[in-house]
Amino acid sequence: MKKMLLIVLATVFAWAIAACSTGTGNHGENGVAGGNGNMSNIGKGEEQSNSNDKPGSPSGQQAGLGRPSTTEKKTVVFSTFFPSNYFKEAKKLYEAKHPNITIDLQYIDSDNAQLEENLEKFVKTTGTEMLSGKGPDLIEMDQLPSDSYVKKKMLANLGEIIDRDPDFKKDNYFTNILNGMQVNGGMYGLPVGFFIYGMIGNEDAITKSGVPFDDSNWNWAQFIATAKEMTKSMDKDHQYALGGSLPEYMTTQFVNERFATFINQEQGKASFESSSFTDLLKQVKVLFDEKVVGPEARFPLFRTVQINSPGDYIRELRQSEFLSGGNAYGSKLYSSPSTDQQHPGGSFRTYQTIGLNERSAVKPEAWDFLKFLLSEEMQAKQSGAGFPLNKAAYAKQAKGIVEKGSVESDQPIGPMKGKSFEITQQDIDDLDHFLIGAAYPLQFKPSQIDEIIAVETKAFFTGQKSAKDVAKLIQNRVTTYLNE
Amino acid sequence: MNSFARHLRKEWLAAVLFLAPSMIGFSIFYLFPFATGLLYSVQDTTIDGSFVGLDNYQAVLSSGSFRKAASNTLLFTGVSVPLIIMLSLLFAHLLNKKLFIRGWLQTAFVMPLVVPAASIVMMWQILFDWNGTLNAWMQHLQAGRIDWMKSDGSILVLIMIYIWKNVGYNIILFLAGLQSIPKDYYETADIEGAGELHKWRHITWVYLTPTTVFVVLMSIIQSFKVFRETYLIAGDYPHDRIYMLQHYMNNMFLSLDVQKLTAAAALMVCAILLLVSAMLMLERRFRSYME
Repeated sequence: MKKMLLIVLATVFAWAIAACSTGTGNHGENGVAGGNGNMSNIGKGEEQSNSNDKPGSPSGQQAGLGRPSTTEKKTVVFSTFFPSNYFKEAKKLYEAKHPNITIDLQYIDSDNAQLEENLEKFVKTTGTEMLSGKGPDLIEMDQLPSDSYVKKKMLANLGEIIDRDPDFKKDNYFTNILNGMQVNGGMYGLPVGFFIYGMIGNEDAITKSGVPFDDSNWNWAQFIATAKEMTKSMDKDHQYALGGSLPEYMTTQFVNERFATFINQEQGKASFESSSFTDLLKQVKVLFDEKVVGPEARFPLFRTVQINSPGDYIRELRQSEFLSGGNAYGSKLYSSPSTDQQHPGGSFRTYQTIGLNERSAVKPEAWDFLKFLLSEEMQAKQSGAGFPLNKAAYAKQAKGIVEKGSVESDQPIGPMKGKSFEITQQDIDDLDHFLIGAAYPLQFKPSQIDEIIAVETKAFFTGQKSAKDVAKLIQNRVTTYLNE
Repeated sequence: MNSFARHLRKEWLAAVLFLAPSMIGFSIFYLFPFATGLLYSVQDTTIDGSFVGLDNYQAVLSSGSFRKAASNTLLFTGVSVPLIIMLSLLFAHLLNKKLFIRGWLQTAFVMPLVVPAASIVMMWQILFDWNGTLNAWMQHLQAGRIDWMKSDGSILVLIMIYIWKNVGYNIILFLAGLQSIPKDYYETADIEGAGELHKWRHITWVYLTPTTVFVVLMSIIQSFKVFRETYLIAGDYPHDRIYMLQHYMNNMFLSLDVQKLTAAAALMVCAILLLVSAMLMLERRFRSYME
C-alpha cells in the first residue's frame, strides 16, 4: 500500500518538476537573448566598482551600455502606478522617432475607493516580479520601497551608466539634485522633476523687529530662539513663529536632526527611553503650549512651504500682499533650519523617480528612453508638477513666465480668486539660489521609524499619556523594527 | 491470489485517479512552492543564487525580533490551545445535556466562524483602543486607562479573540464525539455502580481521544492564523508582545528579503512538524493501550 502511495507521489513530483523546469528554461532563454552576461556578476559582487564587472560584459557593452538598436524590434516595459500624461506624451513622441521601439506603458487606473488596495497590490506584485528576475524594464519608484530594491541589487547603478555615456552631460541637469540622490556612492533613480522646501516669512515684520539672523545656516533650536525674539512684541494674531506644523511631525524633525543620538542602526539599538528623548518631547510641547508654533496660527511669522514650480513660488510669495483688512504684508522665502550644520543645504523631494531594472534585457533602449524623458524637448513640456531636472528646460520655463510678467492665482474661490501676481527677473534669481542650494532628499514615504514616532507621540501631545510611557512604547516598537 | 492482486491494483488505479486532481493542486500550490522556498533559504539571491549553506538560518536566528516573534508565537499557542480545549469540552458537555435553548446556543457558538474577519476586528478595535469603549468605562469608574493593545496585556486580548472565534467549531466536533459514544457503556457502568467522575475518566475521555487529537491539531493550526486579526488591529509593527512569526515573515516579504523569509518559514514548519508528529505518536501509543 505504502509503495503505491510513493509511486503516486513520485509521479506527481516528476510532473511538477518537469512543468517547472520548462518555466526556468524559458527564463534562461530570455536572459541569453538580452545579452546581459554581466548581470550575474553584478548580482554577486559585493563591491560596486565599475571595473569589476567589466570583464564579464559582452563586447557591445565596453563603453557603458552600448548603443540602442535602431533596426531590431524591441519593447521597453515602463511601469508606473499613477497614469501620467507626461509619460503618455513621451511614449508617443519617442515611438515616432524610433519606429523599431515600442514603449509598453503600464499603469493602474484606480478611483479613490480602490486606491489603497490597488497600491498595496502594486507594491507586492512589482516586488515579486523583480525578485523572480522579470519585472518591467523601467519603474517609477515613488510608491515603492527603493531602499530594499537597492539593497537587493535590483536596480542598475545609473551613476555608472552616466559616467560611461558621453551623451549624458551632467552639467545640463541640476547636479545638486543628482549628487543629493546618491546612495552609498551609487545612483539608482533619475527623477523627472523635484520640489524644494523652505519657509515663507513675513519680511516686513522680520525687518521691523531688527533681530539679526542667518538663515543660510541655522538649526531648529536657533530658529525657534530667533523667531521667538522676533514675535516678542507682536499682537495675538502675529505671535506665532511658525504655522502649519503639527507637534508629532515637529518631533520627527527633531529626532532626525539628532538621529545618531537615538538610533544605532548597526547594533540594532534605539535609545528613546532616555531623558534626552523625553526632554525633546517636553520641549516640543512647550513650543506649542506657548504658542510659538501652532497649526491654528492666523498670521505666523514663518510657515513651511513646498514649492512645485516657478509659478507656484510667485503665488506663495505674493498672496500675502493681497490680504484684506490691513493685514497685507510682504513675504520672502527663507531656508529651513538644517539638520546638519556642518553641511547646510535645503531639502528637496524628487518626483516620478525612475529606476532601471538591473536584469532588463533591453537596457540600452530603456536608458535611451529615460534620457529622452529628461531631454530639454520633453522637460520643457512639463507643467506644474515639480521643477524639471533639465536646467535648459527650467530656464525656458522661467524665461517664459518672466516675459509674461504675471502669474494668475490658481484658486477657484476665496479672496485670492482671479488675482494676478507680478513677477520679475529678481524673483527668479532668488529662486535659483534655492534650487541650486537644495542638497538633502526627503523620502517620498516617511520612514517606518518616523511613522511610529508620529503615531505614538500624539497621545502625549493631547495630554493623554506621560512622556515616559510614550518613550517606552516608541522604544518597544522601534527596537522590533531595528532587529528584524 | 493472482486475481485478488489484480483486483487490488484496479482499485488502486481508481483511487489514484480520484486523488489526482487534489494531489496535483496540492503540489502546485503547496508542495512545490515550499520546495522552492527551501531552496531559496540556502541561497544568497533568488535569481542565479549560489549555495550559502546555513547562512540565512544563522541570520534569522541572530535576529532579536525573530526570537521574540518565535517566543511570542509559542507562548500564544501554549496558552491558548489548552484553554480553548478545556472551554470547548466544557461547553460541549453542557450542550450534550437536554437544555431547552440548546439549538440557539449552538447557533450562537458557531456564529463567530461565519462573520468576516474585518468586521470582527472593527469591533475589537472599538472595544480595546486607547480611546475605545473599555477605556471610556474604566475612566468613568475612575480606574485609569490602559492601552490594551500596546501593553503586555495585548496577548490576552488576542487569546480572547482567538477563543471567541474558534470555540464554536471545536464544540461541534466534541459534541459529535460525545454523541457517538454508545449509551450502553454508561448504562453498564451505572449498573455496576460507577461514579460520575469514574465514568467520565474511563468512558468519555477514552472514547473522545481521537476527536481530541483532531481538535488539538486544528486548534494549533488556527492559533498560527491569529496573525490576520493582529495585523488588522495593530499593523505591521505592533507592541512586541504580540509581534508574531507571521509579522516577521510579512515584513521580510515587504522588504524583499526572501532568504530570511524562507528560512524563517522552514524553521516554523519544522517546529510544527515536530509538534504534530509528537502528538500523533502519543495518540498511537494511547490507542494501542486502549485495545
